[in-house]
Order: sequence, then structure tokens, then C-alpha cells
Amino acid sequence: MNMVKMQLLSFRYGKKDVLNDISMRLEPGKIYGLLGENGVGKTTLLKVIAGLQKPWNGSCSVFGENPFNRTPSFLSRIYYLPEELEYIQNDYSIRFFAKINGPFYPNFDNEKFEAILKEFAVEGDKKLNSLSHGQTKKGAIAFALATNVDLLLMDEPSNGLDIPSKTLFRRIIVEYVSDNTCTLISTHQVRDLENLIDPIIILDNKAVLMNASLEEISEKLYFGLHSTIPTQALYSEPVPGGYLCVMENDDLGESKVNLEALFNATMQHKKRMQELFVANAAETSAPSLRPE
Amino acid sequence: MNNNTFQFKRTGKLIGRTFQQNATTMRNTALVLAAIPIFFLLLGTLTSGEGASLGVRGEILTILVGVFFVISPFFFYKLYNHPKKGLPEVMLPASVLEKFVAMQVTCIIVLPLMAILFFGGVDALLTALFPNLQSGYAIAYFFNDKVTEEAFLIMFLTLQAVFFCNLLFVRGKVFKTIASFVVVNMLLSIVLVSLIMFMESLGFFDEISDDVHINLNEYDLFGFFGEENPLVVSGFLFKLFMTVVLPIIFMIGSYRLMKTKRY
Repeated sequence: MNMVKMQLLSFRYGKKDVLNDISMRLEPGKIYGLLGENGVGKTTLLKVIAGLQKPWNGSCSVFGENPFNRTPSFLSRIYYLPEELEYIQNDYSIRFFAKINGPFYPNFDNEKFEAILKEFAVEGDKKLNSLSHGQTKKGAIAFALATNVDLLLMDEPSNGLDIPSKTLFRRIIVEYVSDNTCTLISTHQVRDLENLIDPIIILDNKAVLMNASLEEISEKLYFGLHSTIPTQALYSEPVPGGYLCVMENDDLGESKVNLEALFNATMQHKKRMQELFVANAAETSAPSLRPE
Repeated sequence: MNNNTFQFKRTGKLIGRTFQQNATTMRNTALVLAAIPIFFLLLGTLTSGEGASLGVRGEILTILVGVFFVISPFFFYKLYNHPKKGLPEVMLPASVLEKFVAMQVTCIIVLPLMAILFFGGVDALLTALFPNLQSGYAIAYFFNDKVTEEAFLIMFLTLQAVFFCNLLFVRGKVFKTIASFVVVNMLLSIVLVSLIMFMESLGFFDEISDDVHINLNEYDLFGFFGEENPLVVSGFLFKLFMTVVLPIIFMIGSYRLMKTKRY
């Protein structure tokens, strides 16, 4: 069952096109990584799914509803964690924030909230406007996870976290995200989400270039270290000991997907990548659903 | 009613949330309100040997209730349509109708009631404790002399206009709201004066006595149906528009803004 269905969705701010004919589907129980260059429309896409923005054209359906209607049944099943934390930097603590907002989410779990706060070592009773950016972000993440919603949207959640916290963040997401929750995490810092996200969605403002699982990616692409750059390499970068190369996988065997190299290879060979990941290409050309 | 449209339970939770969210500010406001009658009593006693007159205290209470009534949307919901700070409100699992009703109830009741309870209550207490220093109850003066249907309708119209402006403007709300009020009043005055001058040029007033006096407040809201004088009927229609139609237009406009706001 698809939680999110987008068909030929377009969005523009004034005369500036941000998203053009974007189509994709998201399923429950997966942690999707939404990758894309700065300004490509990742935040806008999350806002459309969250019902904060209305598509200019095409359709977006979440749990079978038009998200822009913002019905209670829709809002109680979704949580959007924005990149900027102005919304939460108030004269009260994260515990108070949870106390006044938690009861609106039917599956809010206060024990889980407290456990995550403890793991993140966040001072739950300290006023949010006196906490550091990183601490505030951890508090906001703890609340988002404790809502136990079906669809969790996180915009650049690792921004502002120090290195140990980024590792902790990955572990907490794996441990605390409910089994049936569909999580969509946008980032332009792909290394932060290594070993966490699967499937991978790579976006540019013209199309979804890739929406594929790591297994599918490693079946179709090979990531390897070579002393020289092979002629068939789609992408290469110098690393200690040679070159990290991305090639089409013609019986080269399985390899570990390097997200940063994958992203760069996709940016350099957009059309070929779309062709390789056929399911996504077919999705893109599917007929449009009408808005509800 | 549909579970997704309106539930009293969720609306009550929203009102409770507003109280919790603003508890500190409300407590401080209550303390200031309670301190004002004490301040006036002390000031009066020190300067003239007795507290402020009932008229002065009653007028202060009236002004406080009026001001609190009108500014309550800014007090409680200033951030509702802020593109970043408004997210917790708009993403809260409740329908737009529930949020709208909770906001209206809070604005109409909470702040004005605070002024009545804390200013009026302390004033009454002081009168009871020190009858030789001040006499009469401001709260009684307010309810007997100031609370009229006419006054309530005008305040309700003003509240709905402020409520609408609070949702319409994102930044500089207070200044833009005041500026809008000034501009709209000026435009209305110009239109009315032009209309009267136009009617006069047509000779409409030639047969009407110079001494004619129309007091619209002498009639109830729909009293104009029995009148035949076109001037009286026009006046009543204008009054009906201002006190009934316009607040409804503002309320529908506010609801639409909440429903269609993009963040």
C-alpha cells in the first residue's frame, strides 16, 4: 500500500519553477533518503506532502487524502520536522512543548519521548530559547519520534548536530522509528545518513532521478576502488590508494553503495540513471491522478 | 457532525492548550490588572485623602475591557500565520473550524473576563475593605452603565476586524491593522459625505426639516421595517451592514485565510 502518491506534481514560487512533473510513491516501514542539490525543492516537496503548500499542477495524495485539506485524521498521522527551529524556540521547555502538543497525537508515547531525551542528554526542563541549536534540534527530534505517526517528514535533521550526535541520531532513528512508519529524511549531507536510509530518492527540479533500494542500486551499479580510472566509469574521484569509481554493474559483483559517489554520479548522468532505474522512469510517465 | 469537521472535545483541548501556552503572560497580566486599583487607591489617598471616584474607576475598567477585547487576537494568536513560527499551530491535529472556534471563544471571553475579574474584583474588595476611602463598585458601574447591545456590537465588529487583520498581515501586524482602520474610516467618511452631497444636489433634502433628528439607537436592530422615511431606512440598512453583515464577512474571511494559508 502506498502512503504517498505523487503524479506529475509541479510547483512554482511566483514565476520560478521549483518542481516539474514529479512522480513518486512512498511505502510504509521504510526510511527514505531524499537527496538533492541546494535549492532543488526538497523542502518544498516535504511541505507539499505535509499540506503546508499546494501543488501548482498534478496531484499529491497522502493516506488517500489531499494533504492541503489538513483534516484532523490526516494531521494526527503525520509529523513534519522543519530544518529551522524558530517554531520551537520559545520561552518554555521541550517537556512543556510535549505536554501541550502530545495529547493531540493519538499514539504519542511519553515514555519513548523521555527515553530519547535521556539518550540525547537533552535538558528537558530548560527553556528552549536558552538551549544550543543542537540541543533544541535533539529535543525536536525526540518529540517527532514520540508522536509515533505513520508518516514522519524530517528536513535536514542532522544539520546542527555534532559528530557524536549524528552517530547517535542514526542509531535512535533505527531504534525508535515504528515498524510501520514511513520516514522521509531530506538532506544534502549524504554522509550523515549513510547506513540509515534505504531506499534512496534523488531529486532535481525536473524529475525524480532515482527512487530505488540500496539492493537495487548495488545490483545495477558497482562502487569500487581502482588504481586507474576505467573507461566505463560513470563517475570517479581520487581517494587514498587510487580512485573510487562508479560503474554500471555488468557482472562486477556486489559492492557497498557509497551515497556521496552515487549522488555525484547521478548528477553527472541524470538521463542514464533514470534509464537504469526503470521502475522510476515508468512511474514518471504514468498518467496523472486528479486532485481530491 | 463529521469527526474531521468539528468535535467539542478537540476544541476544548485547543482552548486548554492556549491557556497552558500563555500561562505566564496571563499570570503577569492578572497581577498588573490587580495592582491598578491598589495603585489608584494609594495615589488618591496620598494626594487627596480618598481614592479615585467611582466614575474614574468605572471608566478605567470599561477602557480595559474594551482594549483587551480588541487586542486579544494579537495577544494569543500573533504567530498563527507566521511562515515558520506558526507551524505548531497549523500542523496541530484539529480541524480549521475547531481552531477558528477555539480562537474566537478565547478572544471574546478570556482577556475581557480577566480585566473584569482582576481589576473589578480587586476594586470591589478594596471598596468593601476601605469604605471610607472609596465608594461604589466599578464592576457595577460597568455592567449598569456601559454594557449595552450597541456597545457590544461595535466591539464585536472591531474584534472581528482585528482578528481578520491578524491573519491577513504576517509582519508589522499592529501597525498595519491601525493603518488599515484609519484608511477604511477615511474612505467610508469620504463615500458617505459624497453620497450626502450628491443626494443634496438632487434636492433630496429640500423638503426635510432642518430640525430632523434621527436616533438609530432608539430602535431595535430590525426596527427600520416599520419606517417609511428613506433616510431612516438607509441609516438602518447601514447600521445592519456594520453590525451584522460586516462581522460575518470578517469571520468568513478569517476562516478562509486559515483554511488556505500556505507556509
